[in-house]
Amino acid sequence: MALLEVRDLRVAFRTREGTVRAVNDVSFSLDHGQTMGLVGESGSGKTVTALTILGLTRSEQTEIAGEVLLDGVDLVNLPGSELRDLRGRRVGMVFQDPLSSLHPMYRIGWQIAEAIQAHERVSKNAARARAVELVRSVGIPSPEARVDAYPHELSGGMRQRVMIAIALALGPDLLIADEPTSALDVTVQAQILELLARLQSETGMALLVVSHDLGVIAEQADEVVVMYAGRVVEQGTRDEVIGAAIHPYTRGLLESIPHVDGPRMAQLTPIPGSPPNAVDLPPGCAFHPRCAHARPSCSERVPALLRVGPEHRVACPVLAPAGPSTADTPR
Amino acid sequence: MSAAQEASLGASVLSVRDLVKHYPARGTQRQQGSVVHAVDGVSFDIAANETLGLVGETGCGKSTVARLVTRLLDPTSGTISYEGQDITHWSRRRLRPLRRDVQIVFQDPYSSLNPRRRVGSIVGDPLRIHRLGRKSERRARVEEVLRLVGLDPAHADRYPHQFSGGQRQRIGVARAIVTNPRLIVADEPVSALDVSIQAQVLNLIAELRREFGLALLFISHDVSVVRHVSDRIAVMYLGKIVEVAATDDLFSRPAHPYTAALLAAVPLARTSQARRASAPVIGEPPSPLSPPSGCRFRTRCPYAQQICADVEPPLEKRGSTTVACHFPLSRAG
Repeated sequence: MALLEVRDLRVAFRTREGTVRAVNDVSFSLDHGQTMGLVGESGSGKTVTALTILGLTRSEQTEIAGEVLLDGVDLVNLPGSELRDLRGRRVGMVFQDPLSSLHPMYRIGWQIAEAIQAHERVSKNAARARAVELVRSVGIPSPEARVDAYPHELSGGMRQRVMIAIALALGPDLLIADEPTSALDVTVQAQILELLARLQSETGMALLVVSHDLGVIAEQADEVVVMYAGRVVEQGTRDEVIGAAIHPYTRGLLESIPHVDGPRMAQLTPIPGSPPNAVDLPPGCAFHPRCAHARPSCSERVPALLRVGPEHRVACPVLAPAGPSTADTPR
Repeated sequence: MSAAQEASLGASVLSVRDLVKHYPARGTQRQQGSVVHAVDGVSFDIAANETLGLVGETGCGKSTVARLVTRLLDPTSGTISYEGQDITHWSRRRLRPLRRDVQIVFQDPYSSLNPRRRVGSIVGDPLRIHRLGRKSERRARVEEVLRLVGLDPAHADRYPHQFSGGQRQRIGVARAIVTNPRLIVADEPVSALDVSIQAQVLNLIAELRREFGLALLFISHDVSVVRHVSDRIAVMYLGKIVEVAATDDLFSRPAHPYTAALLAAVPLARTSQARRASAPVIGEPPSPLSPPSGCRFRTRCPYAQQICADVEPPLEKRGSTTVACHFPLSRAG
């Protein structure tokens, strides 16, 4: 059994403008020690997927269906108190902006200790000692002194290291990182990505990285899920999805980014048009109005994810047509 | 100034020498008389039909350069020359006719367009301000420019909120080119856009430059984007230019250790490449309130020696690059 198993997850928000179907039929699984990259542009549903795993999208205006199984326990219907206990202890989280995730008026050591004491009965001194060790493990120099710093006294990269220290304080099995490096400069991003990879190999935790940056995903993830307009359009191993992309949207994304090496392209190949409005999605495949391969049938029904390789699944009946051997079977 | 820079001076549209901008520090440090060294002695030239990319990380001073060369900010010292005329101390009144020729495209297509005005009048504003043409001619020019940037002229009566982010940035570009400028300063013009849209706007900027022979100062933190659009690239670090070279030279043989670190840090969206080969550069940029002595990169540089702390390396021509480093990386490989 996989550590995390997301099955047919659907999340819809009721808004004044109408119902936003933010996530539709998303399924994937993640094992210990594995890294899953969830990639997509603004409004693709990648962050909502991650937040829903943590139970952070629950509200009266939200409809959640499907299953999120952590070691077989369904988190979607778990009572709030049990979910709170699990969050932080078994599932850690790191968000994009460490400045708004940290309390500005408490020393960082206090904030790390608080995370520990929220779940474990330990003395103040023991919690502080662990905070110092955590600060050291995330590569912050002179940890004994730095635990007494306030967030504003640290740089963006150091703050993100503190967030990672808090997320790892209780040794979670799964770390969810939502755009963990998007607010950071590229040289600092490289440091944080390396830190996450090192911590993962030391602890054997599973890592779910949400990012809009295909470079970050290609570098970090073993498995990749590409989302567009609330649906998975392609998923598989890193080599399958980044190395042998099939879905026109994934290909379009890969072709529209300029590279730092290789010959310079005279022209980029952009994806025409813009992503659709979430309350008024195009019928059928939501990508069809921007797709060069679209056929009339593409607007008729939502394409199913079809298996095209060992792990590789693609939701495009034009480029990945269903054959006898490619029938969709859940893993 | 190097000989090559000297020679190109005659043809430059924009020429900047020893530009410095210091701000008083905020808060408690203000009383101590501290200053932020935002830009600290920057020189470069841009010729007609040339794109100079200015690349660097947060706080390196690249956006301050954009505001200085467009005279939206007054420099602490140094000179800014436009087509051979020193405009550093021109009054706002005297600058006004120049505003026609020098336009700026901002990063955020949301806050840089007035939400209460129709797109046609936003784009037509520069024409009205400079009293160019009659009303009917201005209307025709606005339609022409909207078409040029790939928008439907029939949408001139709409408001900015009725457009997507990418379309809004096209409106920003349309406004910048409506007066047929000679120089455009684009400050992170695609950073707020999703990648699929970013490519559309980059292609548009490249097309317009080819078509109209514009000089373009293209500022970005994204090295791959800068590489795509620029003829030459200047790399900034903590208020200074550390290296300037033709784009292909810079990417194939970076000479400054910071340039090399910056290029190596970019994650690649592909699988053939082995994962990160070299260890990332350590640390983060120091505060511009108290930049290190000598070379400002020395606190993070793997090759730093004593001389790097004692003597500031001048920006000097070495082979095909111009670099400010006591120990530039081998140009052989």
